[in-house]
Amino acid sequence: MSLDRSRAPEAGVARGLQIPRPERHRLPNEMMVAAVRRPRLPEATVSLVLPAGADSTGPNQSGLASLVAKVLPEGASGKSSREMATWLDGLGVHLGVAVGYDSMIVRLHTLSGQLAPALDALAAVALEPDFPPDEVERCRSERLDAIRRLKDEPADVAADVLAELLFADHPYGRLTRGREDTVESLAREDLAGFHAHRFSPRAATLVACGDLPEDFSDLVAARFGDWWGEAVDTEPPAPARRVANPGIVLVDRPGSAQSEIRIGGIGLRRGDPDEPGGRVANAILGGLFNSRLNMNLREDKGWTYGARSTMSMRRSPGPLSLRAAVETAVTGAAVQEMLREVRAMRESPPTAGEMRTASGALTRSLPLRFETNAQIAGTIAEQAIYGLPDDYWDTFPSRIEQVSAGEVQDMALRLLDPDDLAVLVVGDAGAVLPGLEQLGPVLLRDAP
Amino acid sequence: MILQPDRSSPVVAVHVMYHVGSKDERPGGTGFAHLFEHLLFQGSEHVEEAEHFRLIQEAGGTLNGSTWFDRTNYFETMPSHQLDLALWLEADRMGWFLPSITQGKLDNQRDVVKNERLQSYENRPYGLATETALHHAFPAGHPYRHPTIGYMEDLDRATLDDVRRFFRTWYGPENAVLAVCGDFDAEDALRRVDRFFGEIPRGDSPVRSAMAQPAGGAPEVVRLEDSVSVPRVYMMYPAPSFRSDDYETSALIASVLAGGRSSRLYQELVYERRIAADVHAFVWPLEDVGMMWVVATARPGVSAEALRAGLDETLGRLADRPVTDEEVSGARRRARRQLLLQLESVGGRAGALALAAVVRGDPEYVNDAFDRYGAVQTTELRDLAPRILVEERRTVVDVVPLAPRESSKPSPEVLP
Repeated sequence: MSLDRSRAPEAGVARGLQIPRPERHRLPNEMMVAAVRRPRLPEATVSLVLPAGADSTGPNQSGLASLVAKVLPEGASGKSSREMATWLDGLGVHLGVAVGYDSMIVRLHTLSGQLAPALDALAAVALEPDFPPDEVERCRSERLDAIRRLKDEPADVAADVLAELLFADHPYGRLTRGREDTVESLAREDLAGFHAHRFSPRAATLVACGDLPEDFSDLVAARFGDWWGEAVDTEPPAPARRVANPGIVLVDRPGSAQSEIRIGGIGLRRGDPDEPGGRVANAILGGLFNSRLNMNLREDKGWTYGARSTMSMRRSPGPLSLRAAVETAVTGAAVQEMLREVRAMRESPPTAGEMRTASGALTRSLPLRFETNAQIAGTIAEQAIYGLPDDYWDTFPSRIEQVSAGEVQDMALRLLDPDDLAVLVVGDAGAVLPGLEQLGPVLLRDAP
Repeated sequence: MILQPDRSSPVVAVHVMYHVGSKDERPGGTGFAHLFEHLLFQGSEHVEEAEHFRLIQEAGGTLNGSTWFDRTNYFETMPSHQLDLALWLEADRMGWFLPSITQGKLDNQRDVVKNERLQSYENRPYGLATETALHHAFPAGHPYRHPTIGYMEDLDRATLDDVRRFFRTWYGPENAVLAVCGDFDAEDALRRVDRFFGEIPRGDSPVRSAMAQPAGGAPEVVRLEDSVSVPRVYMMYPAPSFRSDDYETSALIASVLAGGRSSRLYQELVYERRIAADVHAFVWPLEDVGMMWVVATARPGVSAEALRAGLDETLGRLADRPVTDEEVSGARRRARRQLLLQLESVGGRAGALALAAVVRGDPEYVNDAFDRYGAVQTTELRDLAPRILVEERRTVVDVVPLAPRESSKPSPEVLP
C-alpha cells in the first residue's frame, strides 16, 4: 500500500493504561504505607510525605519549613552531619528533602541492594533529627546567602515580588525559602518545635515504588512502627483575599539584557470543581507550545524564547500567572500583547480546534504520567496531599472532555480580570519606563 | 536504527540524532547548527508551519530537540499507539524539509534564538562563564572553541543558502541514528520505519576533518565581570572523551571530588572552611576532547583568589591522601543509580542509545555501562586523577561582581 504523506497517519488502537494502584495499609500508629512493586530495574524510590509545607507557618516565620528541610539530614540519631553524609554517599543513596507550600517530602532513591540501610537513613533523618546548633547556624547562614543571591537572577526576583503582590501576608506571599528578616529570626527551638508538631505518623504517608522485596511492609514496620505522635492540624490555609491592584510594578535591574514580565491573578485550589475548566483555559492561553501567548510573542513576533502561563493549584487557590522574558526594546508592547490575549480569552469562547488540542494534550498524555517509579510515587503522594479519590486519574479524561468552550470563557471571566491582574516587570527601568507608562501608572520598587 | 521493545508501559520514544553539532560550524557562522535545529520545527513539505508541535501535543506526546558540540537530536515520547505520527513527522523533516523553508521562518527563529541567548546566557548570572572558558582553552579555529548558542553577530549572518547547504551536507539518513524504545513489536516497528523512512535518499555523506586536538590551557586566570553578588570559579581540565576507555573512571573521579555531601571538595570547602556556597565537578560526554569541570561559588566576603586557593589545596591533597576504596565504592554505586534513573524512561533510554551509537559507534555501550561503572578499580582513579588534574593544562575563569552600575532611571518611588 502506498503511503500518503500529505496527511498525518491515523492513530493505532490504544493499549489501555493500567493506572498502578498501590497496596495500602496502616501501621498501628496510623502511618499510611502505600507501595507499588515494579521489579523492572534494581532500584526503588521511597517518599515520606508530611503535612509540613510552607503553608503551615505564619508570615513572620516564612522560610521555617524550608530551613527545617535543609537541616534534617545534617545530623540525626546521634550521627554527625559528616557521618550522615559519609553513610549515605557510601550507600550511593540519594536522600533529599523537598518543600512545597503544601507538604514536605523526605525522598530517597537507591539501588535495591541498599534498600534496607537506606530506609534506616530515612527513618533517622525524618524521625530523629538532632538539629545540632552549629549545623543550624551554618544552614541558616547558607540560606541567607542564597536569599541575598536571589537578586542576581531576574526570574527569581520576579517570582518573589509577584508572590507578594498577589498574596501579601498569606503564606503564599513569600517564596518557600523565606525572606532575610524572617530567616534571621528563626531559632533552633523553632525548628525543633516545627518538627515535633508537624511530623507525626498520624498524618504521614510513606510511598514506595520500584524493586521492593516481598517483606517490604516488615522493613517499614521495623523502622516506623515505634514512631508515635499527636494528631496534626492539616487544615489548608484560608483562601487569600486579593490585595488592591497597584498598577504596573517595575523592579529596576540596570543593564538587563531582557525584561522578565509576569502578569498574575489568583487561580484555583487543587480539587476545585472547576479544575477541569481551569486546566483547559490555561492550556489554551499559555500551557502548550501552540498556546495563544507563545504563538503570538514567540512564533509570530520573535520577541521571546517562550511565553507561557501556569496555574499553580495548591491546597488553597494559588497563582495563575503569565510569563515571558522579552528583549528590552519591546517590553511595553509585550505587556500590551499579553493583556490583549487575556481580554480575548474573555471576549469569546475558544475555537473547536483549540478545544481539541487542549483536551487531547491533557487527556491523552496520561500514559506519560505513569511511566517511571518517581512519577508513580509522585502521583500517590499528590493523592495523599490533596485528598484526591482513588479513581481521580481514571475519571480525569472524561472530566476534561466534558468542558465546553463556553465554560472556558467563563473561567477567563472569573479568573482573568485585566483590571485586577498584577503586572510586574523586572528590567532596565531607564529603558522600559517610557513604554510602560503609556499603558498606565507605573510604580517603581526595589527587589525584596 | 536501534529498536528496543519494552512492553511495560504503553509509551514509545522516537529519537533521531544527527551527527552534526556546533563543532561543524564554519568560522563566522557560530550558532548555526542550533538555529537550524529551530527551523526543523517549523514544518516540512507535508507538515504546515506550527503543526509539528500541535500534532504531537494534541496526541498526548511530548517533544523537544537540542544541539550540542557533537550532535543534534530531535525526540518525542508518545502514547504507543501514536508511533506512526512521530515516525511520519521525523521522516518528513528528514526527507522533505527544504521545500518548506522561507526567509520569514528564518528571520523569526533567528529572533527567537537571539532571545534564547539573552535569556539563558546574557541575562543569567554566570551565564557567560562557560563560553569564556572554552574561548580561552582552545586555539583559534578549534571546533570546541565556541558555544552551541553562538554569537549574536554570527546569528545575524545566517542565510537561506546556508540553511540549504547545511541540510544537504549533514541531514541525510546516512548521518543519522534513529532509536525507538518502548511498547511495540520489533518486526512491526521495523516495517513502519521502513515505510516512512525507506525512500529517503542518502545525502552527501559528510567528510569530517580529523579529530580535534586537546585544549592547550590558558596560562593566565581569566577574569570575567558579571552582575553577580559573589564570585564563582570555573576550572576546566582536558579529560578522557566519551569514546575513551577511561571515561567512566573520569566520571567517578568527579564524583569523589564533589559528587555528594561527603565528597572531598564539599567537605573541606563548604563544611569545614566555609569558603564555598556550593561546589560541583562533572565530565562532559564529548566525542573528540573530554572536559572535566570543577565549579565553586564563593560565600560572601570570600574572593575568587581565596576560593581558588582552597580548591587547589584540596585537589593537591589527592597526591598524599589518595582516593580510598570506600570513596570509590560509593561513587560506583552513585553512578550506577544515576544510570538506572536515566535508563528507566523510554525517552532517556532512546537518548542514551542514540548518543552511544553516534559518538561511540556502539549502542551496546548502554547495556555495558552498568557493569563498566561497577568494574572501575581504586587504582585506576589513583592513576588517572593526576593525569587529568594538571594545573598547566587547565583553564580558569573567575567570575567576579561588577562594580554597581548607575541606573539611567528617574528617581524611584520605593515601596517599603
